[in-house]
Amino acid sequence: MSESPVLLEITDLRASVADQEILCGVNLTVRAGEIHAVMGRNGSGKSTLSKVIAGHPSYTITGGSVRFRGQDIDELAPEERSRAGVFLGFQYPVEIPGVSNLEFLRVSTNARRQAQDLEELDTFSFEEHLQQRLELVQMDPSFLERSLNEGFSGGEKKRNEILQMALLEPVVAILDETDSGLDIDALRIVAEGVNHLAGPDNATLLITHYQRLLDAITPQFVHVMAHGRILRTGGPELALELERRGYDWVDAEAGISSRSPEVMA
Amino acid sequence: MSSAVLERQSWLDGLRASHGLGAAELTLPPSRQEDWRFTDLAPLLQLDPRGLKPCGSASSAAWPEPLADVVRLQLGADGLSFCLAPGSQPLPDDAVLTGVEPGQASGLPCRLHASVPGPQLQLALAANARLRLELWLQPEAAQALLAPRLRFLLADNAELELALRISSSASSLCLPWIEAELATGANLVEGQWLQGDEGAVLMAGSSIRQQPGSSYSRTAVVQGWALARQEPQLLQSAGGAETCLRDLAVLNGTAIADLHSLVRFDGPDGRLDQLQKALVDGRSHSIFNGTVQVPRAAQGTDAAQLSRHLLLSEQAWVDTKPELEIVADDVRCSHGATVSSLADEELFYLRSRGIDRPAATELLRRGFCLEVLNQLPPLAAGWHPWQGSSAR
Amino acid sequence: MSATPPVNALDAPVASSNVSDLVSQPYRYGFVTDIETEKIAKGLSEEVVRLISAKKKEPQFLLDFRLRAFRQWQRMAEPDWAALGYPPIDYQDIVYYAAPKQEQKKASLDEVDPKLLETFDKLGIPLSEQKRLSNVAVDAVFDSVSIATTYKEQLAEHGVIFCSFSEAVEEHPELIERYLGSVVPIADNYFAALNSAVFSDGSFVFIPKGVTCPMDLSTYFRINSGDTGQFERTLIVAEEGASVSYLEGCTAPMFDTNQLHAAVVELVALDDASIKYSTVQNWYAGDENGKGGIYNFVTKRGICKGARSHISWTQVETGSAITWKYPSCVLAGADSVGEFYSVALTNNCQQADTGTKMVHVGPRSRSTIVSKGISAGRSANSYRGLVQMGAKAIGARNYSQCDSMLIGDQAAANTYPYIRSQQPQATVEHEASTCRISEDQLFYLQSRGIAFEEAVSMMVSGFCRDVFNQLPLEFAAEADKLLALKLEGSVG
Repeated sequence: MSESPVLLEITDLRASVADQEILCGVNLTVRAGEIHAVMGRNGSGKSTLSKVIAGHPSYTITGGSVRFRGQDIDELAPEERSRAGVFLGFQYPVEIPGVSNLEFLRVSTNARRQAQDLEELDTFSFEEHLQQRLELVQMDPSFLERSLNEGFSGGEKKRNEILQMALLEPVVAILDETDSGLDIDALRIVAEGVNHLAGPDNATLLITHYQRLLDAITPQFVHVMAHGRILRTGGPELALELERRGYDWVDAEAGISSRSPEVMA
Repeated sequence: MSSAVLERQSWLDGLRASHGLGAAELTLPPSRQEDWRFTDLAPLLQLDPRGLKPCGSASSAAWPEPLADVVRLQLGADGLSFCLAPGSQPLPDDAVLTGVEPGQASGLPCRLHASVPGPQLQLALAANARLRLELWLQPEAAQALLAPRLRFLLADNAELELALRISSSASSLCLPWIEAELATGANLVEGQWLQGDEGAVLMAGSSIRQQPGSSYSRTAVVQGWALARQEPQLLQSAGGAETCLRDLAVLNGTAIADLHSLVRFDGPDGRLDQLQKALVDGRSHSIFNGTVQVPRAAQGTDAAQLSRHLLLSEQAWVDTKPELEIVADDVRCSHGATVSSLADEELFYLRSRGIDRPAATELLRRGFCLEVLNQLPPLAAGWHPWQGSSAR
Repeated sequence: MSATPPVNALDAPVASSNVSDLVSQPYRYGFVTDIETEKIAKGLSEEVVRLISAKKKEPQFLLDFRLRAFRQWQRMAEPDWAALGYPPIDYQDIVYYAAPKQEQKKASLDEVDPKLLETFDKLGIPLSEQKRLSNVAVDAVFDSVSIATTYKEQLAEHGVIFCSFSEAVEEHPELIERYLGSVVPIADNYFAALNSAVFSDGSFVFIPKGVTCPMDLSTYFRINSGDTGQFERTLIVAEEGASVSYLEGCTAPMFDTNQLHAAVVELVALDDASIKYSTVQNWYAGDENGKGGIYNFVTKRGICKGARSHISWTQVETGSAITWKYPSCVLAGADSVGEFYSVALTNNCQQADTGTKMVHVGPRSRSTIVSKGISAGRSANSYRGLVQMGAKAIGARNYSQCDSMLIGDQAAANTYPYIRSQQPQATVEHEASTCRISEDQLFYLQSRGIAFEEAVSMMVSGFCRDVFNQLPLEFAAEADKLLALKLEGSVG
């Protein structure tokens, strides 16, 4: 497996928002065919990591690099990253009244297809293209007629995220707390979708702080984040251990007293 | 007298000299008057009051055929009457094309309207009657004076779908006035498409009275115009009715759009759902003043009002003032107002899906407008440019 | 005990008269202190302005300031745009200067007329060394003059100046000359011009660079005389990095005539400075028929002059027959912050037209407005506010929340928010809602054994929580007590 190409390489990444450093040197390598889970408490920097990879304008990279298929993506606009195959499944997808979900899906799919040198899909062929993917997330076609995420329940929003992932066929998919706020059924549907889309040529990064998503999607690697760094990496058994013992012991073993960021300085 | 006052006076004198109708007491409001504090009347004064004249309809050849069940009216040759457009159903027997008394409202649009001649229509719908009516008012010449007066009397359970389309020609003055009385169970669904040349002025007013159990919905879109002032006034005379107001102004250049709405509940259990939106670009100015009055008799009122402005340019500006006046204690009343540019989080979401900034911006602008445009009644739904891309 | 609860218990209307009874309760501070007073004759003229200035032995610049203001005032008209109704005020029927007779401001409290000390004792503001509040310095103002200021020396050790306005004019004329009228110019409005011409006394606070004022400062205003107008003037200056919390309290006796109170408060915050200004206003509100009470026409404004400066207004308005008051912030400095937290309770025939102005000039300036209006009886309670985003206020933000609670079906609650934005990169959000004390909520509390009046008081207090949380601790308790007091009474 280690022979497969590196898709995402994060080296000593430092990033800040409003002059406050949130990422303090993150290192992570993701190869094709891999599923990684990044776990950690609230505020450990997990979500920031996902936003920095996707290019959120509020975050500034202050050191290190993010390389996607060998290319430094710091200078790329969010849309360019998306077209290149980076996908962020949002923890809180925004509601955009008046913008039709269907049209949004078509425009973004075509933007990605263009970058892949694929033919753009017209309205009719797009709906065909969409049909099978709708089934994957068991989404009612009536959602397509509604405004983007507007009035969607938590589960519906997350399924809409997975639908977008299915359409955009990303190379690296980062799913930020995709399991939060889901009931058992929605969680199963989301997990099945992710498993179905995972293949030998792409990779998935799951960001979560619960074990329950990892019961349904088995990662090869589990990373524990705290204080803006990855403190520990292991296999799926690490997630189970975290579930059992909490996070404090990771801090302790890494020589960081829990909840006191001063020590890091 | 200051020169501004003199200018106003001579403009009014010009209007009187050319159109000869009474209204001796007609004055233009001073700029310190609360209702007009934010509104610049200069575009009105720039029109030539002596050159304004009623005129006939522009050619209707390019217009789509009316649907089979629709009455379509257009301007008669003199511009002072309505006539059936080609392919239209005939008017119902009890429609009266003249003899409408001027409205009783005191605002400037009504007073201006009452001081000039214009085409008139009074239409009474009997109990349970249904009608779909289109009015295409497009004067053929520049400097048109267009003052249509419409009065609708809806008996119990009558239903009227009304689509009013005004497309002004250059340097025109449009003074539409609509009155309606809705009996119990009556339903009036109104769509207005008000498009003006950049030198044209719109002063629109309406006075709607609703009986309990009636339902009124208005969706009005304003685009263009040097100055567009609208004063819709609505009275739920004994409460218990449903009112839905949707307004959109799309502004650019030096346009001024001003919506002063008044909704009053004179009885219990009335409902209001009001949304005012404006997309403000260029050097334009959007003004909203929305008054909701809930006196003591109006217990159980449920009224929600929202004003949303998208301010897109450093040279444009917005004045908005939602107003609530409440005495009754058992009511649910809320209002909200926002003024902002496009939301960064929304832009990022779209961009993270591969949509570039200009396309994302356009999508968001359109989405902002569609929230109102989607509410246009079926007869007017085809009038906006994005009909294919609507989200519900 | 009946086995089945009444089925209609939830639907039973709360006798709203009960709730109304609760908010009608006697005014506790309505006594008059019998003390010999020096008063000038009624009426206002240039001579009177000169006389006031002469009595206070003021320097020339101050007399000039007063005369300019007086001439300006003569040219102005009383504003009529507020949602208020009252008979015309006869400005010639008011005494513009009254002071308890004593020779000079006393060097020590021992020399102050014991009647005055007793008055402040009764108001809960003991001034004598043994009894004074332990962590609040107080300037006590009686009619037109300051009686005493506590902890002056201790504050001076930190470089903090806290004294009556008259003393400041004597001892720090250069500061007064520099800042007086710099936030509220004399021509700002009718009542500000009037105040600028005839102001009598008030407090002056100066916090030098880098100093955090070691204790809360407080001024207590007491109107005693029946035909005297009160025109106090407060000026607070916080230099770079300084911070202060200032509290203001007010009461007046019950008269069946109206007294005019037209104060001006100016706040100046330089770079990184912070001023927190809290008011609990409990002027006499008139009787249940609207007879008597204070006309409270007050101009309060702060300027966040420096970058990252911060001005916060918190007010609890329960008194006065008429309140006309819009504590405002001019957010000139980059990243400056303005806040306005208000509870306004009106009852009987009280009228309040109050709110704030947040004028955003500097980039990234932020403001928050939280207004809670409670209207009972036949009162009228209006929120009137302005949020303005100037052309240079890039990245500025405002959030406003205005809630009204109606008690009974004869009180009015109005909301008039003005919003003007000239900057696309600024965000303004305003929300307003109206509620009443619902029967379900009351029933729920009562069914858990809470008495009716306590339940109402809890709900009103909960409604105001966001604002009370902003008050300094001593005042939060007082404000809660005050509202509870206003709501106290027998259940019908």
